Amino acid sequence: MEANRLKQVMARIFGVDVSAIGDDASPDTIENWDSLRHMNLVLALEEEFGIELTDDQTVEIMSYPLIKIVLSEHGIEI
Amino acid sequence: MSRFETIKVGDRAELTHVITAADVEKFVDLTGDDNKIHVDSRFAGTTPFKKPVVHGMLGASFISTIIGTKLPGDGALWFSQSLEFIMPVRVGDEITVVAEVKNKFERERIIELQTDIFNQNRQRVTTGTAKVKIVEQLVEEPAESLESLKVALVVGATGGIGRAVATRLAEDGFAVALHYHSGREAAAELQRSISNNGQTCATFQADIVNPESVQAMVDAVVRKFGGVSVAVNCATVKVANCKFSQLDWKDMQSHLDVNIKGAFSLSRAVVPVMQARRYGRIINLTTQYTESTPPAELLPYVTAKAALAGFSRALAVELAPAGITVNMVSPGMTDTDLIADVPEKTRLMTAAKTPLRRLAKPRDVAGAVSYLASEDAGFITGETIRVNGGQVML
Repeated sequence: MEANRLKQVMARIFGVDVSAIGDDASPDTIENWDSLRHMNLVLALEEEFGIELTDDQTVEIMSYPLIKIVLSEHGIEI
Repeated sequence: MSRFETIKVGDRAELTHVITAADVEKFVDLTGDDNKIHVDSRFAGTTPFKKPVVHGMLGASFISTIIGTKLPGDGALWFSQSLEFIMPVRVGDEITVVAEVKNKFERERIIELQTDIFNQNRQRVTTGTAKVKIVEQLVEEPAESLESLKVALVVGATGGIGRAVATRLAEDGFAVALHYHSGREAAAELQRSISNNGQTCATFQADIVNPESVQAMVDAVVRKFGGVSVAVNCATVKVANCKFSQLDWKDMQSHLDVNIKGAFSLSRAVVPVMQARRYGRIINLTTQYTESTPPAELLPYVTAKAALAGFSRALAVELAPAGITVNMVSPGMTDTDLIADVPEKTRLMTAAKTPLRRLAKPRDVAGAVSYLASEDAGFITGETIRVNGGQVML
Protein backbone atom coordinates (compact mmCIF):
# COMPACT_ATOMS: atom_id res chain seq x y z
CA MET A 1 0.00 0.00 0.00
CA GLU A 2 2.69 2.49 1.09
CA ALA A 3 4.87 1.30 -1.77
CA ASN A 4 2.16 2.20 -4.24
CA ARG A 5 1.77 5.59 -2.57
CA LEU A 6 5.49 6.27 -2.96
CA LYS A 7 5.56 5.14 -6.56
CA GLN A 8 2.60 7.37 -7.40
CA VAL A 9 4.39 10.38 -5.95
CA MET A 10 7.50 9.58 -7.96
CA ALA A 11 5.49 8.94 -11.15
CA ARG A 12 3.73 12.29 -10.77
CA ILE A 13 6.96 14.22 -10.19
CA PHE A 14 8.86 12.54 -13.03
CA GLY A 15 5.91 12.59 -15.43
CA VAL A 16 5.91 8.87 -16.14
CA ASP A 17 3.47 6.00 -15.71
CA VAL A 18 3.59 4.40 -12.27
CA SER A 19 4.53 1.12 -13.95
CA ALA A 20 7.80 2.78 -14.97
CA ILE A 21 8.83 3.12 -11.32
CA GLY A 22 10.58 -0.17 -10.67
CA ASP A 23 12.07 -1.35 -7.40
CA ASP A 24 15.48 -0.24 -8.70
CA ALA A 25 14.29 3.16 -9.96
CA SER A 26 17.02 5.79 -10.06
CA PRO A 27 18.25 8.57 -12.35
CA ASP A 28 19.78 5.75 -14.40
CA THR A 29 16.37 4.23 -15.18
CA ILE A 30 14.19 7.38 -15.26
CA GLU A 31 15.36 9.89 -17.79
CA ASN A 32 13.33 12.76 -16.27
CA TRP A 33 15.00 12.41 -12.84
CA ASP A 34 17.10 15.55 -13.11
CA SER A 35 18.31 17.90 -10.39
CA LEU A 36 15.27 20.19 -10.61
CA ARG A 37 12.77 17.33 -10.36
CA HIS A 38 14.85 15.85 -7.57
CA MET A 39 14.13 18.95 -5.48
CA ASN A 40 10.46 18.70 -6.43
CA LEU A 41 10.57 15.08 -5.25
CA VAL A 42 11.92 16.22 -1.88
CA LEU A 43 9.03 18.65 -1.43
CA ALA A 44 6.47 16.10 -2.64
CA LEU A 45 7.72 13.41 -0.26
CA GLU A 46 7.61 15.86 2.66
CA GLU A 47 4.07 16.83 1.81
CA GLU A 48 2.78 13.32 1.05
CA PHE A 49 4.24 11.69 4.17
CA GLY A 50 4.12 14.70 6.50
CA ILE A 51 7.82 14.67 7.24
CA GLU A 52 10.79 17.03 6.96
CA LEU A 53 13.91 15.65 5.34
CA THR A 54 17.30 16.72 6.67
CA ASP A 55 19.85 18.31 4.36
CA ASP A 56 21.72 15.00 4.21
CA GLN A 57 18.58 13.06 3.44
CA THR A 58 17.70 15.31 0.50
CA VAL A 59 20.99 14.17 -1.04
CA GLU A 60 20.65 10.55 0.04
CA ILE A 61 17.37 9.80 -1.76
CA MET A 62 19.23 8.77 -4.90
CA SER A 63 17.08 5.76 -5.76
CA TYR A 64 13.84 4.00 -4.85
CA PRO A 65 15.62 1.66 -2.37
CA LEU A 66 17.32 4.65 -0.73
CA ILE A 67 14.05 6.59 -0.51
CA LYS A 68 12.55 3.58 1.29
CA ILE A 69 15.41 3.60 3.81
CA VAL A 70 15.14 7.35 4.40
CA LEU A 71 11.36 7.10 4.89
CA SER A 72 11.94 4.25 7.35
CA GLU A 73 14.12 6.65 9.33
CA HIS A 74 10.94 8.71 9.73
CA GLY A 75 8.96 5.66 10.85
CA ILE A 76 7.35 5.04 7.49
CA GLU A 77 7.86 1.45 6.37
CA ILE A 78 7.39 0.80 2.69
CA MET B 1 77.13 -31.58 -4.13
CA SER B 2 75.20 -34.01 -1.94
CA ARG B 3 73.32 -32.84 1.13
CA PHE B 4 75.79 -34.68 3.37
CA GLU B 5 78.69 -32.81 1.83
CA THR B 6 77.04 -29.41 2.34
CA ILE B 7 76.60 -29.95 6.07
CA LYS B 8 79.40 -28.71 8.32
CA VAL B 9 80.15 -29.26 11.98
CA GLY B 10 78.66 -26.27 13.81
CA ASP B 11 75.68 -25.88 11.48
CA ARG B 12 72.58 -24.97 13.50
CA ALA B 13 68.86 -24.93 13.00
CA GLU B 14 66.10 -23.90 15.33
CA LEU B 15 62.40 -23.35 15.56
CA THR B 16 60.05 -21.89 18.11
CA HIS B 17 56.59 -22.96 19.08
CA VAL B 18 54.10 -21.89 21.71
CA ILE B 19 52.59 -24.93 23.37
CA THR B 20 48.79 -24.66 23.47
CA ALA B 21 46.06 -26.64 25.20
CA ALA B 22 45.01 -27.77 21.72
CA ASP B 23 48.49 -29.25 21.19
CA VAL B 24 48.10 -31.33 24.34
CA GLU B 25 44.62 -32.46 23.31
CA LYS B 26 45.89 -33.53 19.89
CA PHE B 27 48.80 -35.38 21.47
CA VAL B 28 46.41 -37.22 23.79
CA ASP B 29 44.15 -38.06 20.83
CA LEU B 30 47.09 -39.39 18.86
CA THR B 31 48.91 -41.36 21.53
CA GLY B 32 46.16 -42.14 24.04
CA ASP B 33 48.42 -40.90 26.83
CA ASP B 34 45.88 -39.12 29.05
CA ASN B 35 47.96 -39.40 32.22
CA LYS B 36 46.30 -37.03 34.69
CA ILE B 37 49.58 -35.26 35.36
CA HIS B 38 49.21 -33.87 31.83
CA VAL B 39 45.48 -33.23 31.54
CA ASP B 40 43.87 -32.90 34.96
CA SER B 41 44.53 -29.63 36.79
CA ARG B 42 43.04 -30.88 40.06
CA PHE B 43 45.17 -34.01 40.04
CA ALA B 44 48.29 -32.08 39.06
CA GLY B 45 47.58 -29.66 41.90
CA THR B 46 48.06 -32.48 44.38
CA THR B 47 51.54 -33.25 43.03
CA PRO B 48 54.81 -31.36 43.48
CA PHE B 49 54.31 -29.93 39.97
CA LYS B 50 51.14 -28.09 41.13
CA LYS B 51 49.96 -27.55 37.54
CA PRO B 52 49.68 -29.91 34.54
CA VAL B 53 52.93 -30.74 32.79
CA VAL B 54 53.08 -30.98 29.00
CA HIS B 55 54.09 -34.43 27.70
CA GLY B 56 57.86 -34.45 27.31
CA MET B 57 57.57 -36.23 24.00
CA LEU B 58 55.31 -33.49 22.67
CA GLY B 59 58.15 -31.01 22.90
CA ALA B 60 60.63 -33.63 21.75
CA SER B 61 58.53 -34.28 18.67
CA PHE B 62 59.70 -30.89 17.38
CA ILE B 63 63.21 -32.35 17.25
CA SER B 64 61.74 -34.53 14.53
CA THR B 65 60.48 -31.41 12.78
CA ILE B 66 63.94 -29.86 12.79
CA ILE B 67 65.68 -33.00 11.62
CA GLY B 68 63.08 -33.79 8.97
CA THR B 69 62.69 -30.31 7.57
CA LYS B 70 65.81 -28.30 8.34
CA LEU B 71 68.91 -30.14 9.46
CA PRO B 72 69.52 -32.21 7.44
CA GLY B 73 65.96 -32.08 5.98
CA ASP B 74 64.71 -34.32 3.19
CA GLY B 75 66.33 -37.72 3.26
CA ALA B 76 66.97 -37.69 7.01
CA LEU B 77 66.82 -41.11 8.63
CA TRP B 78 66.72 -40.44 12.39
CA PHE B 79 67.86 -43.62 14.01
CA SER B 80 69.11 -42.71 17.47
CA GLN B 81 68.15 -40.21 20.14
CA SER B 82 69.04 -39.77 23.78
CA LEU B 83 66.77 -37.55 25.84
CA GLU B 84 66.81 -36.03 29.27
CA PHE B 85 63.83 -34.03 30.46
CA ILE B 86 65.29 -31.46 32.82
CA MET B 87 62.40 -29.11 33.57
CA PRO B 88 58.63 -29.27 33.11
CA VAL B 89 56.99 -27.50 30.18
CA ARG B 90 53.59 -25.90 30.67
CA VAL B 91 50.81 -24.88 28.32
CA GLY B 92 51.63 -21.36 27.15
CA ASP B 93 55.40 -21.85 27.22
CA GLU B 94 57.29 -20.80 24.11
CA ILE B 95 59.84 -23.46 23.37
CA THR B 96 62.87 -23.03 21.15
CA VAL B 97 64.22 -26.26 19.72
CA VAL B 98 67.87 -26.09 18.67
CA ALA B 99 69.90 -28.66 16.76
CA GLU B 100 73.64 -28.28 16.15
CA VAL B 101 75.94 -30.59 14.22
CA LYS B 102 78.62 -32.01 16.55
CA ASN B 103 80.16 -34.71 14.39
CA LYS B 104 80.14 -36.07 10.85
CA PHE B 105 80.94 -39.68 10.03
CA GLU B 106 81.92 -39.71 6.36
CA ARG B 107 81.89 -43.42 5.69
CA GLU B 108 78.43 -44.04 7.14
CA ARG B 109 77.11 -40.63 5.98
CA ILE B 110 75.88 -39.99 9.51
CA ILE B 111 75.71 -36.73 11.44
CA GLU B 112 75.51 -36.38 15.19
CA LEU B 113 73.43 -33.51 16.53
CA GLN B 114 73.21 -31.87 19.91
CA THR B 115 69.48 -31.35 20.45
CA ASP B 116 68.25 -28.95 23.11
CA ILE B 117 64.93 -27.38 23.96
CA PHE B 118 64.74 -24.07 25.82
CA ASN B 119 61.75 -22.27 27.30
CA GLN B 120 61.00 -18.57 26.97
CA ASN B 121 63.27 -17.86 29.93
CA ARG B 122 66.16 -19.47 28.04
CA GLN B 123 66.16 -22.34 30.55
CA ARG B 124 67.12 -25.70 29.05
CA VAL B 125 64.12 -28.00 29.51
CA THR B 126 65.25 -30.95 27.42
CA THR B 127 68.63 -32.10 26.17
CA GLY B 128 69.97 -35.00 24.18
CA THR B 129 71.92 -36.28 21.21
CA ALA B 130 70.57 -37.42 17.88
CA LYS B 131 72.17 -39.52 15.18
CA VAL B 132 70.87 -39.15 11.67
CA LYS B 133 71.81 -40.95 8.49
CA ILE B 134 71.43 -38.94 5.33
CA VAL B 135 69.87 -40.94 2.56
CA GLU B 136 70.60 -39.45 -0.86
CA GLN B 137 68.35 -39.87 -3.87
CA LEU B 138 69.64 -42.43 -6.35
CA VAL B 139 68.39 -40.36 -9.27
CA GLU B 140 68.39 -36.58 -9.08
CA GLU B 141 65.13 -34.84 -9.84
CA PRO B 142 65.40 -32.63 -12.90
CA ALA B 143 65.77 -28.98 -11.91
CA GLU B 144 62.52 -27.13 -12.30
CA SER B 145 62.62 -24.26 -14.72
CA LEU B 146 61.75 -20.79 -13.49
CA GLU B 147 58.61 -20.66 -15.55
CA SER B 148 57.26 -24.02 -14.46
CA LEU B 149 56.94 -23.14 -10.80
CA LYS B 150 53.46 -21.77 -10.30
CA VAL B 151 52.82 -21.69 -6.58
CA ALA B 152 50.65 -18.99 -5.02
CA LEU B 153 50.43 -18.41 -1.31
CA VAL B 154 47.19 -16.63 -0.45
CA VAL B 155 47.28 -15.13 3.02
CA GLY B 156 43.82 -14.65 4.45
CA ALA B 157 42.33 -17.18 2.06
CA THR B 158 39.20 -17.72 4.14
CA GLY B 159 37.97 -14.13 3.79
CA GLY B 160 35.62 -13.05 1.02
CA ILE B 161 38.32 -11.63 -1.25
CA GLY B 162 40.93 -14.23 -0.28
CA ARG B 163 38.59 -17.04 -1.21
CA ALA B 164 37.89 -15.54 -4.63
CA VAL B 165 41.60 -14.90 -5.20
CA ALA B 166 42.55 -18.46 -4.24
CA THR B 167 39.84 -19.91 -6.47
CA ARG B 168 40.89 -17.75 -9.41
CA LEU B 169 44.61 -18.50 -9.07
CA ALA B 170 43.83 -22.23 -8.91
CA GLU B 171 41.85 -21.81 -12.14
CA ASP B 172 44.90 -20.05 -13.58
CA GLY B 173 46.95 -23.18 -12.95
CA PHE B 174 48.69 -22.25 -9.71
CA ALA B 175 49.14 -24.71 -6.90
CA VAL B 176 47.56 -22.65 -4.16
CA ALA B 177 48.65 -22.54 -0.53
CA LEU B 178 45.60 -21.50 1.47
CA HIS B 179 46.56 -19.66 4.64
CA TYR B 180 44.13 -19.42 7.50
CA HIS B 181 44.43 -18.17 11.05
CA SER B 182 41.48 -19.49 13.01
CA GLY B 183 39.07 -20.54 10.25
CA ARG B 184 40.21 -24.13 9.94
CA GLU B 185 36.79 -25.34 8.77
CA ALA B 186 36.41 -22.56 6.21
CA ALA B 187 39.88 -23.35 4.87
CA ALA B 188 39.06 -27.06 4.65
CA GLU B 189 35.84 -26.28 2.81
CA LEU B 190 37.71 -24.05 0.34
CA GLN B 191 40.30 -26.77 -0.13
CA ARG B 192 37.53 -29.25 -0.96
CA SER B 193 35.95 -26.80 -3.39
CA ILE B 194 39.21 -26.23 -5.28
CA SER B 195 40.25 -29.87 -5.18
CA ASN B 196 36.87 -30.95 -6.54
CA ASN B 197 37.69 -28.96 -9.66
CA GLY B 198 40.83 -31.04 -10.11
CA GLN B 199 43.09 -28.19 -9.00
CA THR B 200 45.94 -28.33 -6.51
CA CYS B 201 45.88 -26.71 -3.10
CA ALA B 202 46.67 -27.27 0.56
CA THR B 203 45.89 -25.43 3.79
CA PHE B 204 48.44 -23.84 6.09
CA GLN B 205 47.79 -22.29 9.50
CA ALA B 206 49.74 -19.28 10.74
CA ASP B 207 49.36 -16.23 12.92
CA ILE B 208 50.23 -13.44 10.50
CA VAL B 209 51.41 -11.12 13.29
CA ASN B 210 53.89 -13.70 14.55
CA PRO B 211 57.06 -13.70 12.38
CA GLU B 212 58.09 -17.21 13.49
CA SER B 213 54.67 -18.55 12.65
CA VAL B 214 54.77 -16.91 9.21
CA GLN B 215 58.26 -18.28 8.55
CA ALA B 216 57.16 -21.76 9.56
CA MET B 217 54.19 -21.49 7.20
CA VAL B 218 56.36 -20.42 4.26
CA ASP B 219 58.84 -23.21 5.04
CA ALA B 220 55.96 -25.67 4.99
CA VAL B 221 54.65 -24.29 1.68
CA VAL B 222 58.11 -24.57 0.14
CA ARG B 223 58.39 -28.14 1.32
CA LYS B 224 54.96 -28.99 -0.01
CA PHE B 225 55.10 -27.27 -3.39
CA GLY B 226 58.81 -26.62 -3.99
CA GLY B 227 58.71 -22.85 -3.68
CA VAL B 228 56.53 -19.76 -3.75
CA SER B 229 56.26 -17.71 -6.93
CA VAL B 230 53.31 -15.53 -5.91
CA ALA B 231 52.33 -14.22 -2.48
CA VAL B 232 49.00 -12.46 -2.13
CA ASN B 233 48.32 -10.71 1.15
CA CYS B 234 44.57 -10.49 1.76
CA ALA B 235 44.81 -10.41 5.56
CA THR B 236 42.88 -7.65 7.22
CA VAL B 237 41.09 -6.67 10.39
CA LYS B 238 37.32 -6.43 10.53
CA VAL B 239 36.34 -2.85 9.77
CA ALA B 240 34.27 -1.14 12.45
CA ASN B 241 33.36 2.53 12.61
CA CYS B 242 34.80 4.31 15.64
CA LYS B 243 35.27 8.00 16.36
CA PHE B 244 38.83 9.25 16.91
CA SER B 245 37.89 10.41 20.42
CA GLN B 246 36.91 6.86 21.36
CA LEU B 247 39.92 5.08 19.88
CA ASP B 248 42.59 3.42 21.98
CA TRP B 249 46.07 2.82 20.67
CA LYS B 250 45.36 -0.90 20.72
CA ASP B 251 42.77 -0.31 17.98
CA MET B 252 45.50 1.26 15.88
CA GLN B 253 47.99 -1.42 16.83
CA SER B 254 45.76 -4.30 15.77
CA HIS B 255 45.38 -2.82 12.28
CA LEU B 256 49.09 -1.97 12.03
CA ASP B 257 50.04 -5.43 13.24
CA VAL B 258 48.01 -7.29 10.64
CA ASN B 259 48.67 -4.92 7.76
CA ILE B 260 52.28 -3.85 8.30
CA LYS B 261 53.87 -6.36 10.63
CA GLY B 262 52.06 -9.09 8.69
CA ALA B 263 53.22 -7.79 5.31
CA PHE B 264 56.74 -7.36 6.68
CA SER B 265 56.87 -10.90 8.08
CA LEU B 266 55.38 -12.39 4.95
CA SER B 267 57.81 -10.54 2.70
CA ARG B 268 60.79 -11.47 4.88
CA ALA B 269 59.80 -15.10 4.60
CA VAL B 270 59.01 -15.33 0.89
CA VAL B 271 61.65 -12.99 -0.57
CA PRO B 272 64.62 -15.36 -0.03
CA VAL B 273 62.63 -18.13 -1.71
CA MET B 274 61.80 -15.87 -4.64
CA GLN B 275 65.32 -14.44 -4.85
CA ALA B 276 66.71 -17.94 -5.23
CA ARG B 277 64.77 -18.24 -8.49
CA ARG B 278 65.05 -14.58 -9.43
CA TYR B 279 61.30 -14.53 -9.85
CA GLY B 280 58.45 -13.46 -7.63
CA ARG B 281 55.21 -11.58 -7.38
CA ILE B 282 54.05 -9.97 -4.14
CA ILE B 283 50.55 -8.51 -4.21
CA ASN B 284 49.11 -6.57 -1.29
CA LEU B 285 45.47 -5.65 -0.90
CA THR B 286 44.95 -1.99 0.00
CA THR B 287 41.86 0.23 -0.30
CA GLN B 288 40.69 3.15 -2.41
CA TYR B 289 40.35 5.11 0.81
CA THR B 290 44.11 5.70 0.75
CA GLU B 291 43.75 7.65 -2.49
CA SER B 292 40.59 9.64 -1.95
CA THR B 293 38.73 11.37 0.86
CA PRO B 294 38.18 8.50 3.30
CA PRO B 295 34.91 7.97 5.11
CA ALA B 296 34.75 9.16 8.71
CA GLU B 297 35.50 6.90 11.66
CA LEU B 298 37.80 4.42 9.89
CA LEU B 299 41.05 5.95 11.08
CA PRO B 300 42.91 2.74 12.09
CA TYR B 301 41.96 0.93 8.88
CA VAL B 302 42.82 3.84 6.58
CA THR B 303 46.09 4.55 8.40
CA ALA B 304 47.24 0.95 8.22
CA LYS B 305 46.30 0.55 4.56
CA ALA B 306 48.06 3.83 3.68
CA ALA B 307 51.15 2.51 5.45
CA LEU B 308 50.84 -0.74 3.51
CA ALA B 309 50.74 1.23 0.25
CA GLY B 310 53.97 3.02 1.19
CA PHE B 311 55.55 -0.23 2.32
CA SER B 312 54.67 -1.88 -0.99
CA ARG B 313 56.17 0.87 -3.14
CA ALA B 314 59.33 1.07 -1.05
CA LEU B 315 59.72 -2.71 -1.19
CA ALA B 316 59.08 -2.72 -4.93
CA VAL B 317 62.10 -0.49 -5.51
CA GLU B 318 64.38 -2.71 -3.45
CA LEU B 319 63.24 -6.03 -4.88
CA ALA B 320 62.96 -5.10 -8.55
CA PRO B 321 66.62 -5.92 -9.37
CA ALA B 322 66.00 -9.41 -7.97
CA GLY B 323 63.18 -10.00 -10.43
CA ILE B 324 60.49 -9.63 -7.79
CA THR B 325 57.57 -7.30 -8.37
CA VAL B 326 55.45 -5.77 -5.60
CA ASN B 327 52.08 -4.41 -6.54
CA MET B 328 48.76 -3.52 -4.98
CA VAL B 329 45.14 -4.08 -5.72
CA SER B 330 42.96 -1.34 -4.30
CA PRO B 331 39.28 -2.23 -4.18
CA GLY B 332 36.41 0.05 -3.38
CA MET B 333 33.76 -1.16 -0.98
CA THR B 334 33.53 -4.86 -1.73
CA ASP B 335 30.55 -7.06 -1.06
CA THR B 336 32.01 -9.39 1.59
CA ASP B 337 31.50 -10.25 5.25
CA LEU B 338 33.99 -7.50 6.06
CA ILE B 339 31.27 -4.91 5.49
CA ALA B 340 28.53 -6.87 7.23
CA ASP B 341 28.20 -4.09 9.78
CA VAL B 342 28.07 -1.29 7.20
CA PRO B 343 24.49 0.06 7.03
CA GLU B 344 22.53 -0.84 3.92
CA LYS B 345 21.99 2.86 3.22
CA THR B 346 25.75 3.40 3.04
CA ARG B 347 26.14 0.45 0.68
CA LEU B 348 23.31 1.65 -1.57
CA MET B 349 24.65 5.20 -1.62
CA THR B 350 28.14 3.98 -2.42
CA ALA B 351 26.79 1.93 -5.30
CA ALA B 352 24.66 4.86 -6.50
CA LYS B 353 27.68 7.20 -6.50
CA THR B 354 29.87 4.68 -8.33
CA PRO B 355 30.03 5.28 -12.09
CA LEU B 356 29.53 1.54 -12.72
CA ARG B 357 26.66 1.61 -10.20
CA ARG B 358 27.50 -1.29 -7.96
CA LEU B 359 29.89 -2.40 -5.25
CA ALA B 360 32.96 -4.43 -6.15
CA LYS B 361 32.54 -8.18 -6.09
CA PRO B 362 35.32 -10.44 -4.79
CA ARG B 363 35.78 -11.87 -8.28
CA ASP B 364 36.48 -8.36 -9.62
CA VAL B 365 39.37 -8.11 -7.18
CA ALA B 366 40.52 -11.63 -8.00
CA GLY B 367 40.68 -10.73 -11.68
CA ALA B 368 43.12 -7.90 -10.98
CA VAL B 369 45.22 -10.15 -8.74
CA SER B 370 45.24 -12.79 -11.46
CA TYR B 371 46.65 -10.28 -13.92
CA LEU B 372 49.37 -9.04 -11.57
CA ALA B 373 50.32 -12.66 -10.82
CA SER B 374 50.62 -13.47 -14.50
CA GLU B 375 53.57 -13.38 -16.87
CA ASP B 376 51.88 -10.49 -18.66
CA ALA B 377 52.47 -8.21 -15.66
CA GLY B 378 56.21 -8.82 -15.64
CA PHE B 379 57.14 -5.18 -16.26
CA ILE B 380 54.80 -3.70 -13.67
CA THR B 381 55.97 -2.98 -10.15
CA GLY B 382 55.07 -0.52 -7.40
CA GLU B 383 51.75 -0.08 -9.17
CA THR B 384 48.17 -0.07 -7.94
CA ILE B 385 45.24 -1.49 -9.84
CA ARG B 386 42.08 0.26 -8.67
CA VAL B 387 39.03 -1.96 -8.68
CA ASN B 388 36.40 0.61 -7.75
CA GLY B 389 34.00 0.98 -10.65
CA GLY B 390 35.37 4.44 -11.39
CA GLN B 391 34.97 5.98 -7.94
CA VAL B 392 38.58 7.13 -7.91
CA MET B 393 40.37 7.99 -11.14
CA LEU B 394 43.95 9.20 -10.96
